[in-house]
Amino acid sequence: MTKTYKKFNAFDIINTLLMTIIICITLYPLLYVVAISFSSSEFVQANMVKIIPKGFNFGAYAEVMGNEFFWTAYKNTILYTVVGTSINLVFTCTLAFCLSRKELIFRDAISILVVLTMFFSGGLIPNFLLIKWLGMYNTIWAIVIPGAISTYNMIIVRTYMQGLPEEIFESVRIDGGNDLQIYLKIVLPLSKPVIATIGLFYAVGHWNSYFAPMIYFKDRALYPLQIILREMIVEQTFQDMAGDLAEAFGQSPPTSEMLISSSIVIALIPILCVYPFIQKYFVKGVMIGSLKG
Amino acid sequence: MNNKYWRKGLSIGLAVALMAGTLVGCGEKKDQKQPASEVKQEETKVEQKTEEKAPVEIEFMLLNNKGTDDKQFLAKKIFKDKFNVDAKFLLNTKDAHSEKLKLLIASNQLPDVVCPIIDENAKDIGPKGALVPVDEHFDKMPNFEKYMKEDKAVYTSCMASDEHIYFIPRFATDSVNFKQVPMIRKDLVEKYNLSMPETFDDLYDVLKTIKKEEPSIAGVINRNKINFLNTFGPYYNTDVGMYYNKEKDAWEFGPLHEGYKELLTTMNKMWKDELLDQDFFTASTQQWEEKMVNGAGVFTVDYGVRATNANEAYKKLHPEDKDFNWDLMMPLTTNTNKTKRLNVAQSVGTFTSWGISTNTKHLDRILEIVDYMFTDEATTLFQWGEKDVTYIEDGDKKKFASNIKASYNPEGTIEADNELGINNLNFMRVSKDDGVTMFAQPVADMFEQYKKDVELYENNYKINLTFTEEQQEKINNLNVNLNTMVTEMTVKFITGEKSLEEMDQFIQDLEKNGAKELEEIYTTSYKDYQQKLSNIK
Repeated sequence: MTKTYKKFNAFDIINTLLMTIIICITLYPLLYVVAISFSSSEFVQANMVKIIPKGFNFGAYAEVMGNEFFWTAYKNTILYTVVGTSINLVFTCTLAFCLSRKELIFRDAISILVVLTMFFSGGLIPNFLLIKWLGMYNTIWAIVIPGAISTYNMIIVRTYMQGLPEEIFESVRIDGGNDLQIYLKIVLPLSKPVIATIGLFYAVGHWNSYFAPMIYFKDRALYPLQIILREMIVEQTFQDMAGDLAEAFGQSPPTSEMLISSSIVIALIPILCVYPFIQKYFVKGVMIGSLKG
Repeated sequence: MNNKYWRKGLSIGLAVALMAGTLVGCGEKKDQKQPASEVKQEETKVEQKTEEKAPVEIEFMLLNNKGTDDKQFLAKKIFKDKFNVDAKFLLNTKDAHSEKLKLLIASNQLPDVVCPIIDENAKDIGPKGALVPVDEHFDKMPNFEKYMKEDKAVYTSCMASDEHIYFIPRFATDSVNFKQVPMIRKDLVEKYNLSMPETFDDLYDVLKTIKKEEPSIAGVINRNKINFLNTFGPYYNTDVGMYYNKEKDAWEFGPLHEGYKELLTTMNKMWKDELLDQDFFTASTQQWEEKMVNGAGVFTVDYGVRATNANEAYKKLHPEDKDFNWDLMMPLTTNTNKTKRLNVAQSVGTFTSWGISTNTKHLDRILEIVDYMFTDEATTLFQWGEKDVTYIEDGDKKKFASNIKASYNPEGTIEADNELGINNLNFMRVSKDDGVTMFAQPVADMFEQYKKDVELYENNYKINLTFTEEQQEKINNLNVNLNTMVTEMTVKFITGEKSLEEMDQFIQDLEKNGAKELEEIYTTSYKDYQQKLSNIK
C-alpha cells in the first residue's frame, strides 16, 4: 500500500499565500483592539501596544461591565436585532412567496412598486415627520417597521422560491393542500439556506445600525449599543468647540482608548458567535442566483 | 370557480383598504390645520387661567459629553421644587447633538429648550420663527437682562439681523480659562544650557541646537492638522480666514497680510531643517500623544493639562528618568506682533447658548427658569451643586467633595458635569472663578503668571458680527474656494513645494477669488455693528 499525497501546484501555493496575507490584514485590527483593551494606559499612550497586551489588566473591562448604561444598550441591541430580524423575515418571505407565484394577480404592478422603493426614497425629513405622526417616534417600531422589507433581499428570496419545482406544489394541491400550506410546509422548509443568508444580513444590519436609532430615539434608555460605541469613539477623535472648552476648564478628559476597545470586543462577541452556526447555510445561500439553467 | 370569485373579491377589498388607508394617511388631522403659534397661545392662556404652577414637562435637548443619563441631574430636583417642572433632558453627545439639531430644525420639531445652540445658528433660524426672541421678554427676566446689558459690545454681538436676541449665552465672570498655550521640553533646554526662547526666531535656534545633539527629535509637533493656523495665528496677529485686527480696528483676511507671510516663512525654515515634525499636517491626537511621551516632540501649542498628562505618562514608563519635563512657557512674539498674546476661552459663551423653541407650550415657565439660572443661588448650585454634598469650602474657595472626579480628588468616581449636570458648560448659565484650581500646581502657577503678563486674546476680541441672509450666502460661497486655496497653498509653502517668492502671486489669486470682497462684507457688517453699538442706551 503506497500512501498517496495530494500534489500542490503553483496556484495552491500562491492562493494560500495570498489568503494568509488577507487573513493577517483582516485579523490585525481585531487583534490590535483586543490587545489595547487588555493593556494599561501609559503603554497605549506611548503607542507601544501592537498585538500583544502590555501592562496586562482587566481594568477597562471592569469599568465597562460596571456601567449599567452599557448593559441596557446591550439588552436593547439584542431586542432590536431579534424583533427586527423576525419582522424582516416574516414580511420578506411572505412577499417573496407571493411575488414568486405566477398566478398572483397584479404581480407585475406590485413588483414594480416594490422595486421603485430601491431607487426612490421619501428623504430623511419626510420620513422623520411620518414616523412622528404615526406615533412611532421614540419607540422600537420606528427602527423595525420602516425597513421591514429590503427590496434587495426580497428579490433574492423570490428568485430562490421561483427556482423550486412547480411539481411539488401541484402534488400538494392534489393532496388537498392550499396556498398557506404550500408556503408553510413546503416553501419555507425548502428555503432554509436563503432564509439563513438574508437573516444574517438583516441581523448584522440591525446589530450595526446607529443612524436610525440616533434620529428616532430621544430617550437614552432606548439607545442600542452601537450609538454608545460611536459616541465613545467620536468623542475621542472629534474636536469641536465644546470639547475644547471642557479641556480649557480642566474638565473630564475623553474616554480612554482601552475603554473603547473593551466595549468593541464585548459588542463583537455575540455576532461572532452566530457565524459558525449558520455558516453551512451561508455558503449555500450566497451562491443563490449565481447560476441559471 | 369559487376560488376565482374569492380572489377577485379579496383583491377588490384590498384595493379599497389601500385607497382608504392612503386617504386617511394623507388627510390632515383637524388640529394640524391650526398654526402652531395659535395652538401655543391658546394653551398658554389655558395654563395661565388654571393653577399658577400646574405641573408641566419641559424638554431640554442637552449636549452631554459622556453616555450618561439624567437620573442624578441636580436640575431635575431644583426645577421640580421651584417651578413644578418635570425636566426631561434629552442627552446627546457631540455629533449626535448636531445631527439631530439639523433634522429637528429642518422639520420644525425643536424641543422646548436647546442647550447649546451656536450663536450663528440661532441668529439664522431665530428671525425665521424657530426661536423665541428673548429680548422681548426681558420684563420677565430681570436677572438675565442685567447680565446681557452689562456690556454693550456683548449685547450688540448677540443681536440677529432683525436686532432681536434669540439665544441665551453663558457668562464666565471673573474667570480666565486658557486654551492652547505654548509648551516646551524644559529639561532639554536646561540640559544644553540654552535660554528659554522668547520669539519664534529664538525657538528656531533652540531647536537647531537640540537637533544637533539629538538628531532623532521631531521638533515642533501638532495634532490640529491644518487648524494649527488657529493656534499659531494670534502670535503673528493673523488667522487662517477673516479676523479682527485690533491694532488697525479692522477686519482682515489673514493670508493677504504681513503676519501670515512671516508665519509661513518661519515654518518653512523649520521644515527645511527638520525642526518641524514631518507628520505636522497629518498627525492624529494619538500620534501626537505618542510624540509627547516618547521624547520626539520638543515644542507644541496645546492645552496646559496635556503637559501634566505627558509628564505623568512618561514617568510611569521610565521611573528612572527624573528630568523629563514638558513645561508651559511664556507666549512667543514675532516681528509682526510684539505683544505676548494667548488664546483664552470665551467669557461670554455664545457657543454654548440656549435657544427656546417657538413650539413650546410652556414659555412662561421656561422664562422663569432662565431668569433663575442667572441668580447667585443658581450660579453656585449649577457650578458646584449642594454644599457639603457635592462641594466643600476650602477657605474662600470651593472644591468638589472627594467622591467627585477632579485633579485634587484622585479617588473621585463621579463626573460632576456629565453625571450630575453641574459644572456643565452647556447647562449652567453663569460660572465664577471661585474654586480651587483644577490644574496641577506648575500649570496653575504659570496660568497666574499669564494673567499678569500676557494679553488675553478672546476670539476676535469678543466681537461677533451679524450678517444678513444675502451676506451670509455670499460669505459661504466665497469661503468654499478661499479655504481650499489657503489650506493647499499653506502646506505647499511650508513644505517647500512652492517657493515663498510665489507668495505675491498667491495673494493676487486670493484677491481674484474674492478675498477683498470678503473683507468688504465684514467691513460693512462691522460698521453696522458699530452703529448698533452706539444706538444702545
